[in-house]
Amino acid sequence: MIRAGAISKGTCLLLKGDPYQVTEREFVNPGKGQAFVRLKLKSLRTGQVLRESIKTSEDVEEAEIEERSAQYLYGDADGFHFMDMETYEQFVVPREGLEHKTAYMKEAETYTLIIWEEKPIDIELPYKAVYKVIEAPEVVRGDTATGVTKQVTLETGAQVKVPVFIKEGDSVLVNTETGEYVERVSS
Amino acid sequence: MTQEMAWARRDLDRFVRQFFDERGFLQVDPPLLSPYAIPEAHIRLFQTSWEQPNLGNAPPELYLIPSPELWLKRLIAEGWGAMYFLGRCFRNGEALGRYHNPEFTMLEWYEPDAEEDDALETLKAFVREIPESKSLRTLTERAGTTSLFRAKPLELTVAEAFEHWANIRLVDGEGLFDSAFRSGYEPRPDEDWKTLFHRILVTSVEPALPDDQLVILRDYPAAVRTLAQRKPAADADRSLQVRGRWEAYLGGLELANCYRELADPHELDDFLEQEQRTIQDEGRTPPEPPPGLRNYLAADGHSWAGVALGFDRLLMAVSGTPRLEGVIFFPLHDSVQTSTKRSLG
Repeated sequence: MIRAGAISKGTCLLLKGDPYQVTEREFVNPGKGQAFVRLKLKSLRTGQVLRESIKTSEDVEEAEIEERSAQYLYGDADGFHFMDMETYEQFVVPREGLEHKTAYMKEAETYTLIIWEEKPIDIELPYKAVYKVIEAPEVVRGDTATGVTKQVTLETGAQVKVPVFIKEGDSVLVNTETGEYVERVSS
Repeated sequence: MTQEMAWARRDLDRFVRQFFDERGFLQVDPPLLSPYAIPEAHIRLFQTSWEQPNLGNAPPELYLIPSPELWLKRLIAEGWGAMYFLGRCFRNGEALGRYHNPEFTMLEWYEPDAEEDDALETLKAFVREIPESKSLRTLTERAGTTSLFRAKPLELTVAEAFEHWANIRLVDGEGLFDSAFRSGYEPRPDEDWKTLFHRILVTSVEPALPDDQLVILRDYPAAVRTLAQRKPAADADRSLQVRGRWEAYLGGLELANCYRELADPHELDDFLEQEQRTIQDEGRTPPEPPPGLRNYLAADGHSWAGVALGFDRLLMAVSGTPRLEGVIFFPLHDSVQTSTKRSLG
C-alpha cells in the first residue's frame, strides 16, 4: 500500500484490478474539503488513459511491477515473441494496446519488458532510437509544393517525415513516442 | 522571479489598493500572529509558542493567520463599513507545488449589507479593469492575457457544472452515489457525500472549466458545511439545498471564493462543534476560536459578503506565468533540497 499523498510520476498502482502507471500528478485543495491528488494514469495492459482523484490521506494498492530484458524475435497474430537471452526462455506479449509500438521495434534488438503477475504486459522502447531508411522518394528540384520535408519508410515499416536531404540507406534518430524525426546519424 | 516580474507585482499591488480605495474600502492590517483561529478541519495551521517571561507557566499558542477573516468580521460587525486586506496568510499541510506555497498573499474584502451577488459585481469590475489600468495594460498585452480579462464571464451553478461536465445529477443524499456510479465513479470505502462531491469536482469538473474567461461556480451544496448562509430553496428544485457561496476560476485556476456570511449563531455553534470534533478525531488539538465570535455575525435580517482572492495566482494569470515560483520573491521551493525538488509536482 502507498499513501496517496506520496504518489509521484511513474508510480504503478493497482486500480480496478489492473496495473496503471501515473503519468501526471497534481495536488488540489478543493475550496472547503480535504486535499486530493489528481492523477492521470495509463493502463500498463491496454494503454488506456484514466483520470482519478484520491484523497491524499487514503491508502492505495501499489502494483508490483518487475522489469526484464529480452530480445525481440518477431511479431505475429498471437503477439510479440521475445527471448530471455540468459535463460533462453521464450514468451509472448499480447498485442492489446501495443500496436503503435510495432512500427518502432527492431527484430533481434533487446528491450525491457514490464512483468506483472508473472506475465509480460508492456514493452519499454527507448525514448529515441536509430533506424535505417529503406525507402526514400527523390525530391524533384524546384518542387517546393511539398515543403521542406518528405515521407520515408524505416526498416521497421514506420513512415516518418524527414528533411529532403535524407537518402535511402541513411540512418536517422527518431522519437519513438511521437514518431518525429530528430536528426541524421552518420553510420 | 525576474526583476521585471517584481515590477509587475508592484503594479498589481498598486492596482488592487487603488481599486478598493476608490470605492471607499478601508484597508485593514490585522495581526499575522494570533492567539485564536476558527477551527476548520481541512485547514492546517502553523503554530508557535509565545515565550513571555511574565506569563507564568502557561505560555499560549500563537497561530500564523490562515486568513484575516476573524479580524475583519469583528470590525465589520462593529459597523466599520466596507474594508479590505492585502497581505500574507499561512497554510500548513498543503503539498508544495506549482499552485501552492505555505506563505502566500491574500486579498480579502468585505461588503456590508450585501449578498454574494453584490460581491460578484465587484469581482467582475475588478477583473475587467485590470487590462484597462495604465500600469497593467502593457503587461497583459505583452503576455497575451488581455482577452482573458475582457471575455464575458461564464456563470453557472455547481449543479449545472456537474450535469454538463460530469454527466452527474447533483442531489442531496443517496441519489448522488447512484448518479456518480452510472457515470463511472466506483465507490470508495467509507466515502461520504461530501468527499464524493469533491472527488467529482476535482476529477471531472475543474479540469474541464474553460480557461479563456472568468468562470463562476455558484450555489454550492449546503451539505458542504461552511460559514456561508443557506439559501432558501428555489421552488423549482428542492432536491439540492445550497448556500450563498461562489468560487471563481481564472485561466482554469481557482482564484477566489465568496460567502454570504453566516448570521445564525446556532449554525455557527454547530459548525464549530463539528469541526472541533473532526480535528480531535484525527488526533489533533483544535485551535481556540475567539471568545466573541458569536458577536461577529450579521444581525438578523442583514447579511454581508466576504471574498478571498489569491493575489499570487492573479499575478500568474495577468503575466501568463504557469508556476507560482515565477511570481513570488523567495518561494520555499528554492530553499528545499534539490533532491526533494525533483519529486515536486
